[in-house]
Amino acid sequence: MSTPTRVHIKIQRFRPDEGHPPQFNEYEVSAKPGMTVNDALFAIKEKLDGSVSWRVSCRMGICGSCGMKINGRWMLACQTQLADLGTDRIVLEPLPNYPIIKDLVADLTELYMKHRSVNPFIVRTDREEFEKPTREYVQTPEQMEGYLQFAYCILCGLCNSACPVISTDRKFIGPQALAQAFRYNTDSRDEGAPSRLKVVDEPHGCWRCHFAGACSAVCPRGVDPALGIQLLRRDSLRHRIGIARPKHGAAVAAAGEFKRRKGIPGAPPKTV
Amino acid sequence: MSQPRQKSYGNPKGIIGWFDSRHLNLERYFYSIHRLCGITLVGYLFIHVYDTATRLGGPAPWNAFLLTIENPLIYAGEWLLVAVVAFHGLNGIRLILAEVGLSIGEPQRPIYPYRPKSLGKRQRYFILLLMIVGGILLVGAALEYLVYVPSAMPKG
Amino acid sequence: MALVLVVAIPIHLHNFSTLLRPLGAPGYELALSWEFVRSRARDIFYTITYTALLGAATYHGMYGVRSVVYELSLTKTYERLVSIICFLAGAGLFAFGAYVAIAALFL
Repeated sequence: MSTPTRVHIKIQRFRPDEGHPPQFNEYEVSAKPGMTVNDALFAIKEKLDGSVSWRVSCRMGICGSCGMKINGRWMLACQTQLADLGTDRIVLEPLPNYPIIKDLVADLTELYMKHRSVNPFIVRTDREEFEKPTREYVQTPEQMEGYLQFAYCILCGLCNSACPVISTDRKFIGPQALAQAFRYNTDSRDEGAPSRLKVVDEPHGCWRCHFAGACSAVCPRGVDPALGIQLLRRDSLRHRIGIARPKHGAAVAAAGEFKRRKGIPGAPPKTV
Repeated sequence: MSQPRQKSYGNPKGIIGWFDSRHLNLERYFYSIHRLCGITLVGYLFIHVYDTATRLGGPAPWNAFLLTIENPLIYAGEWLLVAVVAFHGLNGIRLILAEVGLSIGEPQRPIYPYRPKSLGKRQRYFILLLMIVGGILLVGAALEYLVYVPSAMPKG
Repeated sequence: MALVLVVAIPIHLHNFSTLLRPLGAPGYELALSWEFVRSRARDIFYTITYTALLGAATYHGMYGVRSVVYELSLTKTYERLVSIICFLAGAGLFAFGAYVAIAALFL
């Protein structure tokens, strides 16, 4: 599809101090091939209306800041080419299911709190080794493939926004947090699965999901949180009925156990 | 954050969010319809148990009840009911399998353009199979209500 | 419960289906006639299966309604209230249906 020469953009504006409901403002900018929605927003901010607000950081789809609804679809503004939209009329709205701070900026605090509630980090019982590491944790490529997909999450919040359950149930942990719970439970280096399962194995945890799959459909990084949640439910069920598969934990490599291959330089000496 | 939060402006979406599946995947539409079907069926269950209790009154009330349901509108409603039961049941089977981790695939490295496995080929073929089964049920029910039942109606 | 229903409901509908006559269904015009209804009502097999079907359907339905209402972000008090209402409605329906099934044995 070719880039239109001029695009007509409607942006939902909202100023908390003005006290009236959000409304749409319209702008027209000239478009060049390769321009993204993010670039169009910058053009508006620079030349037409300096008060337009939206989150932006990396401009390359890795920070997860610029999530918004573009023509009714959940997308990252920096990853959406104007040519791909197939129209010269664009409507930009902030992510639903989050409170709006201003214009296209949504308040993602809930997303982060829910993410934090599932302990999204490696939990180990050998605290001494964990905090002052002397050796490596060994993990095979097969073990890594079991959770790697879910490690690509960039916390953009599109999944939680598209989820039909979150639109009414604020207590639902959400696909993002549940996928991360699965990611850490499956990581062979982690030993925190029992405590994480206590958080997710709840009526408003993984059992509130109805597999609508909207989270996976909108994920810009292909993380497939719906798959993570169903697998997490499988694991919770197994745990509940006592047939949990034992996880092959990561072994701690003994010093000198792995011989470095020829030609690969060693690490520089420790500075701390 | 010192700015006041205005929670009522389209955020959260509320109950409309259950049914607004525009620009989203097929399974999301199925979820909305599954929910509607379920609620309809609960209502129907109450009506059905109450109606069929008429048989306790003897042949006269039962035959009177049969006369009230011998009506094309009711037949259409019953066909719709078969459709609702078929959809809810078949989608339910799909959900049961997915929620125990079957038919949804294994984690894979995300490679552009990201096609989530849980919404991928295996699920789609399964959905197609279920739709074919559902279609057969609907055609069968249509045959019943269009052909056999009217011919069984008492003449005059 | 859902799996029980997936099996039981087709069996229930099969009784009333003319198309499935080759599989032993009596056909629509017969199935709803008073004689057949009475003979089925007096059959203990049907009493048990109808009661079981009602129990499964009520449980599944009320659990579903409860889940749907729970998603409306209620406080703990309302959650409890909803659970109690669903339980009472379900129990009431089951009790009524079981009474009808058993009373029909004496038709």
